[in-house]
Amino acid sequence: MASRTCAAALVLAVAAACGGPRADEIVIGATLPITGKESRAGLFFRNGYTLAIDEANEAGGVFVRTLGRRLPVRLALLDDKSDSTTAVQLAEHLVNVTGVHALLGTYETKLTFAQSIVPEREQIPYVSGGGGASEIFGRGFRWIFGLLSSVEAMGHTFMDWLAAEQDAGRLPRPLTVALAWENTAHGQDFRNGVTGRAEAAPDRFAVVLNEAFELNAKDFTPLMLKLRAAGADVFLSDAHYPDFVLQHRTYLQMGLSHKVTSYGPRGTEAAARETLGAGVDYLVSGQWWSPALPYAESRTFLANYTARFGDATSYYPGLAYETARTLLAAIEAAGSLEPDAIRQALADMNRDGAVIPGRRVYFPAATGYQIDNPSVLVQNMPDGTARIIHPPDAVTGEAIIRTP
Amino acid sequence: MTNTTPGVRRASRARAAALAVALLLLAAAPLLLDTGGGARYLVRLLIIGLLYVTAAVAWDLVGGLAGQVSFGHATFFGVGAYVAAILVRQDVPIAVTILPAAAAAAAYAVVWGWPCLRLRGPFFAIATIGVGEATRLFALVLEPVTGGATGLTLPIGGGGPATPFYLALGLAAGSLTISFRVRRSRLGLGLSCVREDIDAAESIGIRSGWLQLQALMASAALVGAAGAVYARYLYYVEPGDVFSFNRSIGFILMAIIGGVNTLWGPALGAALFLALEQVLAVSFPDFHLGIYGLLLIAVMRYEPAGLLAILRRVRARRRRGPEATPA
Amino acid sequence: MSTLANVLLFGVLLGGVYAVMAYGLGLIYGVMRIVNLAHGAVLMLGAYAAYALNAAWALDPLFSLPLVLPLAYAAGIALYAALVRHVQGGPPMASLLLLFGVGLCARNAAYLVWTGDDRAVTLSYGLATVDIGAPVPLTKLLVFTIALGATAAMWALFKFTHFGRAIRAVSQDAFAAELSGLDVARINAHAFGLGTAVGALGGVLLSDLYVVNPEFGSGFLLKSFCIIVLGGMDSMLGIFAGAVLLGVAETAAGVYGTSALQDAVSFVLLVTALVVRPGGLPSLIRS
Repeated sequence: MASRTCAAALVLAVAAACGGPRADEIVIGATLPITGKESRAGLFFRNGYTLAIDEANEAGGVFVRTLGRRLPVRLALLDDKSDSTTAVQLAEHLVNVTGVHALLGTYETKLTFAQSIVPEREQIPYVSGGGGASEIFGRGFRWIFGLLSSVEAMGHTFMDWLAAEQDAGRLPRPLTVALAWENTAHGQDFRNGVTGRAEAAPDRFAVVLNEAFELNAKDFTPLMLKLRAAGADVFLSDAHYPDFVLQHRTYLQMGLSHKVTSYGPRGTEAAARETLGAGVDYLVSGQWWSPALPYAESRTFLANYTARFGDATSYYPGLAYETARTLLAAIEAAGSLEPDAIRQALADMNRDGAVIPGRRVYFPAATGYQIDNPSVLVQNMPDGTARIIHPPDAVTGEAIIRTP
Repeated sequence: MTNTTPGVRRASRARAAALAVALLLLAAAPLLLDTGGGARYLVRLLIIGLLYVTAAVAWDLVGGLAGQVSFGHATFFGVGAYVAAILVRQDVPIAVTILPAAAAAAAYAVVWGWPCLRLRGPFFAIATIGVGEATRLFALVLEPVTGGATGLTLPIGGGGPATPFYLALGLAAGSLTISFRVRRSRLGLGLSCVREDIDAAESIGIRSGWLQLQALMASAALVGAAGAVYARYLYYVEPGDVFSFNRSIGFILMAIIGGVNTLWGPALGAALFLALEQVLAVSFPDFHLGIYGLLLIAVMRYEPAGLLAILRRVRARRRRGPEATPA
Repeated sequence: MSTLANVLLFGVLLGGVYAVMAYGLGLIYGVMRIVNLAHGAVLMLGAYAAYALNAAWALDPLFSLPLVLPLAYAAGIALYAALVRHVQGGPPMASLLLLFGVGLCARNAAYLVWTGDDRAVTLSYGLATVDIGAPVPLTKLLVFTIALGATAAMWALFKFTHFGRAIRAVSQDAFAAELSGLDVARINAHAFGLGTAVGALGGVLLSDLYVVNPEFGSGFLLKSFCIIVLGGMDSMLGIFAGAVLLGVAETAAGVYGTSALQDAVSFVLLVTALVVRPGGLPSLIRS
């Protein structure tokens, strides 16, 4: 039948288009959600990757010792449409058809989870700045390296900061905590981080509410009613943007207030201030990078990024930039384009001068090669600025504890 | 069977021979694996394509033959995938998990099929949308069994793509065989009667509910088995992927666009869907939704019998030859 | 205020939101027996229209209705004339899938125009509340009031106007209606237009309450099905009652059970209602 011949021909054509790694350029593959639900983050990530690679090329390329010369770097970027099946298929395409030397990660935990299996299976190095859930790295993989410290570590950061405030006498001891989290790997991780620290220090913390909610909920009234009934000192939530807006709006409309209110990584978005106005004041958010970071390298990066791409709010730009820079640095340290050598360079990496909190890039084997630097905690100020309140080496001002 | 003139018998023997050759070619594909990355990619692509064929043909037993359009077939896919994932994590070889996965999916078909098949037409479709979403939500909530939102990761290193390839090939062949046999059996005849006029069928003693349930169970078993192979192929199972509404829609698109209620139509639709996915993913990612939508609109508006009918018409016109030019 | 009173109060208010969300679907099904799987897209586009006007001219969504509704009505008629008309008499699956395809195209268009970013309208009174024993969001109260108004308006339309009676006649027996001189094709087109306009009304009102992105419609589509099945599929009052029932059930599930299962409630109710009582709530009253 003609139709089946056509199908067979198509399939053979795909096979014929197989490529192989070239030795005249370094090809870095990546998929990002350029369209689809996560497209906002995807676009920031693309800009960050592009900036890092362009900087390397402007310096003449990356020096490969075994070839004795500098090679230009090319980014082979595909759109995974925020869909994990597409992310997996495109990763296979990049590895087997385009023939990339290494991969940069996509954005969002769910996509990274599924996609990371491809580089592990094909034994190609994969550096991710977009997958925070610790379970991605807790699977005993050797080829996956994460620059995003886990969401569980972010939960720890929050609790460590609360403990420091307790020691400074600004928060009561014991402290009651109400916890809400989205029912995803991200949210589960956050829950584990908070409850883990709370169980380890029962004299400091008591979790009085621990509730999951579905993504894209249509109504948070029941959750807020429960929150009011719990009467906690501190409210910690972990949500995606639409849920954050609806949840916080409901929170404000119910007249709720806590000493510390947080929605995990949310709260610093410009759109949030437009929609919720003064309601976003004093929200504390955990970020993996912030434009307000005072480090010299971060300020330089911010100037370059803003000049080229404009607005750099949210943590995506800095993280993406450092992710790409890390991979290029690993290739240079490896001295060759062999996957094993690059992998070893990543595992051994201990690089200073990074733009991310802690200023150092390293991948501890104990966590499955996921960095475990602290997040930076940022508090929204009424004048529209963001004040960094943690970690101590990046603080730009004192935290404001509300009186509910 | 009608029409067994020598010419017809020769034609059908030629068709059978062509099928056998195609099957042999496909079966030989994994032998190319060592020739490089492109071949590896091709084999993995074929696995997905064969799973699509399996699922689309199976869906058509319910959606086409029985006439009950199901928007919830992803539930079977997901059940099969999870059963396989749980077993493989206990060191059960993937081939052994196929049967339990299929059985679990068939059991689930009884659970929601028995109450829902009583509904007619659009009501059944709406109910299946509800079942699909509820299944996904329950999988998210049942964290101890399904891993919740994190899902289940299968241990990597169980061999190359050859095993899932042959499993997928076997399932696709099995799915087509079952569809072929059912359509020519009393079950198929009964289902066609029920589809055309359920009241008339009931009045001559056909037990429509029971027949439809059988179709659903067979369909579910095949889709569940496909889910099991998918779990092995991807090494990762999570509710948002295997239970997704988009996956159910995909099965419908394949069968409808290819040619609903035919043997080869859904297979053709599956191949087209796979090709489209590849082309769109790399070249026109911004338009994939719109293209599927336009295809669906075009088929429903102009040729509800799908691509297969269009191809048949083209071939018939060519066969008539230059003497038969339309006036 | 006691927990139960809170559950009832906020559940009923949520019901008002759900009612406007479901009307478009209910109207088209009730009149034409077509399941409009593009309904989610209609809601989404209505919400985006309100957002676009709000972003460009700081127009309050409620004031954008006089612009959006006639556009939606016209678009509905156009869609009917171009596509739906040709599949209406045939197997129900044809219209179901055709409209689903339309929905896919609409979603793609939204991605192209507005990207996948989350958008929200800016309202000066977005956080305002009204105290009726408990602080109730002003926006929800407005939506509830409009839902009631829309129900009353449509009931009056079908009972007292010639247009409404013509629609009812066609939906009851198209052949007889044609025999008595009605232009069935034109009436069907206008009914579809009306259903689309009502759907757009829902979308505009939803933009008051929710953040908009192209995936916005699908979550509401499934809930809308649940409501019109509960409400009896062809009665506006029934749909309102079904919406309130769902709102209260979900709120109760969230408060007394766990928030994670709130969404599951609607689907369990949907399947149960379809299987046990396909006629929905009104059939319970009639029997």
